[in-house]
Amino acid sequence: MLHLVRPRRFLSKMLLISLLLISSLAFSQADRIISGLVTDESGGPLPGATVVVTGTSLGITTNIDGEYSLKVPDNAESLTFSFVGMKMQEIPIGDKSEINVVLEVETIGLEEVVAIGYGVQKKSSVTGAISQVKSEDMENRTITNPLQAIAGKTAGTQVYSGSAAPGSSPTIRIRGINSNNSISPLYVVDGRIASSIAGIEPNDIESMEILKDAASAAIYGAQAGNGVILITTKKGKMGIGSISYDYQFTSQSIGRTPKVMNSEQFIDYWTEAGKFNMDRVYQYWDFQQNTDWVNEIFESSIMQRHNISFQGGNEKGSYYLSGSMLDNDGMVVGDADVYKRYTGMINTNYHIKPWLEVGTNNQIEYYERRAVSEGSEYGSLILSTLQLDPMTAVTYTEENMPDNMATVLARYRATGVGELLNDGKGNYYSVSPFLTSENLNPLIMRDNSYSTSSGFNINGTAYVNFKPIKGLVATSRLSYLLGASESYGYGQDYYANSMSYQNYMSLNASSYNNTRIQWENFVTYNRSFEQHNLTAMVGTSFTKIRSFGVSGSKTGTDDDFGIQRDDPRYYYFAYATSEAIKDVSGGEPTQRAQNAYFGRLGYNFSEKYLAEFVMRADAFDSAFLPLSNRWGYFPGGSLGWVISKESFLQNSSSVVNFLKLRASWGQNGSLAGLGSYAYLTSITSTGSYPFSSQPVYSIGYKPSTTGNEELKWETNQQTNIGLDAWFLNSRLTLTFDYFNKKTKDLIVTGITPSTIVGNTASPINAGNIQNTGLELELGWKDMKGNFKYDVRGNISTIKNKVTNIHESLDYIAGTGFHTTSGITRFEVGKPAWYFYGYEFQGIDAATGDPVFVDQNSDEIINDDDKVDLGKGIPDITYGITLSAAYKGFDVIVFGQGSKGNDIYSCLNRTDYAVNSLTYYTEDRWKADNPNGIRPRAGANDLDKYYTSSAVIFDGSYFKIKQIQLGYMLPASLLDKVSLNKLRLYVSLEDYFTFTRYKGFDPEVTGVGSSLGVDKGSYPTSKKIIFGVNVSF
Amino acid sequence: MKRITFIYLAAIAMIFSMLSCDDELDIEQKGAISLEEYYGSDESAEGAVTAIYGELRGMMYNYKFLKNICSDDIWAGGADRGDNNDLEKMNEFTFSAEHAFLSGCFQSYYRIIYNANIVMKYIEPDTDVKKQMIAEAKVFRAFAYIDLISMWGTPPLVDHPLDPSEYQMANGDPAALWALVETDLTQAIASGSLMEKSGVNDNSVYRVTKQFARTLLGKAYLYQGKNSESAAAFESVINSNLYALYEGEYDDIFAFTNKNNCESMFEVNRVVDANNVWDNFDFWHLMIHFRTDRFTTKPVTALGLADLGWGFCLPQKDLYNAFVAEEGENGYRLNRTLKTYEQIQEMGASIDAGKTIIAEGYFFWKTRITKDAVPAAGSNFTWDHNINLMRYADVLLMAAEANLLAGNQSKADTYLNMVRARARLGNKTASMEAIKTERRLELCFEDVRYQDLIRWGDAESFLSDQGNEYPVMASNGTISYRPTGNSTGKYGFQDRNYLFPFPSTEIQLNKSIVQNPGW
Repeated sequence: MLHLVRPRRFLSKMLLISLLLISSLAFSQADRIISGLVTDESGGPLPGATVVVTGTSLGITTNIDGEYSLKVPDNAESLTFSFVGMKMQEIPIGDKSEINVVLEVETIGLEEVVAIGYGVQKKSSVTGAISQVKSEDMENRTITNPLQAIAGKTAGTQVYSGSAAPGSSPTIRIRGINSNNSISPLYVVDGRIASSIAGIEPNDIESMEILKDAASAAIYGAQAGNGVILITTKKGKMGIGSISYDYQFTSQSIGRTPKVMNSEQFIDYWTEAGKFNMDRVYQYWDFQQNTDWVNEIFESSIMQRHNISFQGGNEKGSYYLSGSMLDNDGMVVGDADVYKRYTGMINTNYHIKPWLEVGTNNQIEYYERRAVSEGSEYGSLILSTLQLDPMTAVTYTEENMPDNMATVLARYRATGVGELLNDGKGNYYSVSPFLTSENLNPLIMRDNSYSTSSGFNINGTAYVNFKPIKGLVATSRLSYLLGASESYGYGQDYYANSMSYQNYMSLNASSYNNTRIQWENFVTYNRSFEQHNLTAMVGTSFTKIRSFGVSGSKTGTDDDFGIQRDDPRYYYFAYATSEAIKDVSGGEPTQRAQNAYFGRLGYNFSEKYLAEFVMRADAFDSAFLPLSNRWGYFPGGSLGWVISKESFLQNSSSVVNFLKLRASWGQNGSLAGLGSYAYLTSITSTGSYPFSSQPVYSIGYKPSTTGNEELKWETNQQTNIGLDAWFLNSRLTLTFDYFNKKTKDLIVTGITPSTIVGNTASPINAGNIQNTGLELELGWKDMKGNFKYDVRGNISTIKNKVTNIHESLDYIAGTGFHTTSGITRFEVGKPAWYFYGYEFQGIDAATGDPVFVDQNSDEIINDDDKVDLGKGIPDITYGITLSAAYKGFDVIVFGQGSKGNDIYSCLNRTDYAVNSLTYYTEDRWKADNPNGIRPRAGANDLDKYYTSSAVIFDGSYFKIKQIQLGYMLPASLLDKVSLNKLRLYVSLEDYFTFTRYKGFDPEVTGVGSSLGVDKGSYPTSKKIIFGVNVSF
Repeated sequence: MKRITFIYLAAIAMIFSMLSCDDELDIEQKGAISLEEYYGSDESAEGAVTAIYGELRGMMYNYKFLKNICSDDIWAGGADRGDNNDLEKMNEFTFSAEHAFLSGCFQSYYRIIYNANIVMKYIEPDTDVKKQMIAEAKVFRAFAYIDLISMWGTPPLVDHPLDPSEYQMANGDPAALWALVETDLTQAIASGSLMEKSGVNDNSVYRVTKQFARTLLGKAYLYQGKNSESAAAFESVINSNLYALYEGEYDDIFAFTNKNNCESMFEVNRVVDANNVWDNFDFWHLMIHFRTDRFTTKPVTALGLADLGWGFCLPQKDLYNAFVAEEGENGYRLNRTLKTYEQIQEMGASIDAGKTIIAEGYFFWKTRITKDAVPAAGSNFTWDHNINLMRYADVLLMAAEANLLAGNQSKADTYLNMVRARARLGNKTASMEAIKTERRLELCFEDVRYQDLIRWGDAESFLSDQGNEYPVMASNGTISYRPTGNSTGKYGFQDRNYLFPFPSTEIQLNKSIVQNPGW
């Protein structure tokens, strides 16, 4: 037996069994021991380097001091030494018993490959714009969704969050907002097209490639217009089998808390406004109560994660098995915001014959989620923590409750109507005697209804690779998804205030399932003739999707609320009385299908002059486009010139190691606005007419819309020019890109095309949008003895402009705020969804009223005076990651930021006496403060003020996302417990934010047509993390 | 080894050849059927035509104002200057291409045309019902185009539902447009599928009839100067003996209790329905009824009239004078058409002391709204009045005109004098002058005057000064004239007014259309 797998008591039984199984598979008897030291060029030891008996799976990794000791069979001929970023070396054993090796730094990237869709390509030969996120950017972070790993780690992507609640997904836009329709990039996981990647555990991802330019994305044709994210999951590493276990304990708490008025300020303000009567204050306030709602409602909470993986492989095959468990209880008190997820991954491949390889990658996910209301001016739990009055306590007991609550309680006891909710321990959630609005006690909002969603997804691919002749690989790949989701919820009878109550009980539940089959066949041929290198690939793809679901609700208005008994054990459809009102929907299967042909032709001369052409023909089923326009053709082409291979640069090769200039052009499509028979028309009723003197009417029917058989894809056309360079022995790397992306034929709905048409038009292609930008990724990597460090930074600019929309539309209105519609707009000449409102000029020193700029000088301030106030799209996004290691210690600092984006802060309401940020109330105009810069309490035109530039903040921010300090226990210690690696770390995440924004979190505001509009989104928590990584 | 390789290649080729899955892409939409399939039944054909009737009913507010407000019969009216800009601007010819009546009517006409085109495209004439519906659709398309051509000159010719590539359509050629009108009406009449009344007193027909189609055809010919054809078309309506001048009291022709009487060629129908009063809401009648809030101490209800109205569109003195010239102050038809303020006062209603209205001392009586037209459930607002789109008197006078111009003097005399006789006036020899006067008096405020002035070439002489001043009537009946404030040369009928402008929305949306000259 190898010492490596000697059982130890501390290992759990399960691990032991797994180990034994693996060891019995992977290891055979050994005869002699070879030991030695692996170092880098400067003589520093290389811990974690892999030493394998060449051609077998026998191997080991070096310990913290770079040492190894390996039993090898008698017939072993050589050892192979490898380490990430170093050149692999094969050393003949001969009769040596000690082999010391110096590994050389590999010229970065030269041999590295990136996924490009239906194949991989050497990084040095890539002629498109492809960014990569590697596993090291995801490991040991608290991110639960792979998209979160992209933010700040690559140039050319913008990650927007509408919520940071447990289990929420961010929105990602690659190279800007490309449509008036909201559409995400295409996700491809190991070749399988996925509608969502939220269920993939980031720790199981080997790399993510982002195909940013149109030529690269063109291989995915009609779905690639918003960019493509390729995810490659982990495979078993060649060589030794290993088991890794990672545990992470996170304590999370509210980060920035906006400052709102305290009781005294609140009373001052609203009495000054004349909306508050001191009599009421005397009656209900004890002159002490001063509730800090934010601190009462948010608590510090815990997230825990376990990940375990088993992996190994040899030249015949490999396996990677993993399982993970995530339990995230959000910051809201209690367990109303929870995300639990269990995932598993099974990846394996095997070469059955020299010409035949089979393999499969599978992901399994089960999740449960509960969330609280947020991001709305009405009934939002998060926003109510800012708006509630501080004089009311969170709870009262029956003994000390104010009169207004006592009255309600008495009425409930007498009539059974209007229940005051309580925590079950006699503490009643307060009803404010001072404030009645849609935003109420957050605990009532939390408890007056219960809703949960859960589901599972089993998906993956299975493939066969034929290699009948040299250079030719034919792949047949079947991808599948079996998924189901369900929701369940109920709403209780409750009383929160005279506006917010429910005197009945409601139940709802739904169940959906969907299946997806994708079958792809493609042939790749690689051939080199002297200096001519040729790659050709052609293939077909066929996808079939089916989904089915039903949902229902029951509402009871009678005495027993439609439920046999008012008790959660009865809150199911089966126990509702027959009088309850029922509603059922769904029950209709939806089917979708897609067919595609694609090909790629690459040629290079001596890896110096590079050219590549891509073409995809896509057809979607009749729900998308009519038969005549069904097929879309999406070409792309790119050229590259590796200047560093030219003789005139050979002399300076120690300074400039690699220099490549590249340019690409391509077209992609987008499914935006399609998929629901938008081009077809149906019949709608249109008024009635009596054809007699009697009140009997005939109903008129006409086509609902004109229909549009000419509807076609939105098309993105993009030009990209880029540069890749590696300097100073590849310690300095640089990638630069410029792009110009135009989306034309945006699909616009609800327009009147021309009055002579005589009906409302079906969606038509009637708009263009343009994004241009610069992207720069810089890296510096070096080591001095035991000290290694690495700095990577990226910065991107984006300039977004709507260049055309249909004549009939002056603009498309986006989100509204309370009674003001269209505070964001989609309009020609402006960035998508820019902010629209009054321009605040200042405070009238005489009256304290806000004054606005009279843009058209008509002496009236009305809608005609509204102007462009800013935008949610940042001009610049950037990120920087520093990592360093010295002996057993390592440190990572990662920061990310944006600049040039604005936030439209919708945290105020003018129709009720709600609490407000002190930003708006301090230094307000008063008779004795005529130079105050905020409006007087109760000023006129506050509704205009709160939709003016006065509520637009600079949303630029810089956040230190991660500061991690790790310590790897020394080998001497680990050897004694048979461990390969034991690393402990502590980390601070999202701990420091630098911004001028006065609300919760500048990183989390509205998305889509309300990009940058903050209506009280669930903020990112600040986190303290303790973690451990073990492998053996 | 080579052979094995070929086997593999063959296997791969097979996999690829299996991928001809285009059939899989045809997935039928659920909860929807194609128009071709939907329009297979009689009921769907009826529904499609009902949509046209519905559109017609919906456009009446814009239609009635557009057709009347530019004439010399009426003032904009209302309580005070500025009460209704839309009416004042059109009455005074200071309107622009953005005017709501213009764009509203224009859109409605094209919606009618669209709905008619749908019927003609998708419905096969394989049952009697479908044949009738197709014929009715043709009548409505012609109806819309007669108005579009006569008021806009060169409206785009849309004879089928347009594809997006056709959305930007150029002006139509008047000859082709008239040809479409003639063909539609001729085919509808020839189909034998349109309804006909069973007798002169049959008031049960609520749909367009063969005779209505013929009068439209006659009108289309008349407007084109095809006088013999026009005369023949009217002749056939008259000879059907299915229509007659109403022989009861003249002012009962439009009465709420007298819907679909023998003189009605076609009425836009409304019904008394206590449960759905708002479905029958009629804003037009509310607008033109007496300005009741200025009659509070001696209310118009004393005259048996509805107790709410906003007092727009009051007669011009010029109209009254034309009546007096023909009939004398006590003319039967005059007294049943208009009332002077003195007459109103004598009947028991008067404007509150100190109040004024925009009026010249006259009130329409034939279009008055009686109390019985206001359903109890409608809280004064909802009147179930029908709107008469054409009367037999109009048919007779157009017949007289066509015959006169075609050289059939005796027939022209006969038809003119039928109308005069009912108005208790003596016979006259038909002349254009006589016919013009008769049409003005008989059909005042009935949608024809403005278009008559234009087609006769008289508009400039009658209307060039309209818009200079407006009358204000005090409670004692004194009239003062006040300047409208319109700038010199910018009001009154001008050359460009021979055609209405295409609505600005259409100009903006349709790059191919050319605006009418002067607009």
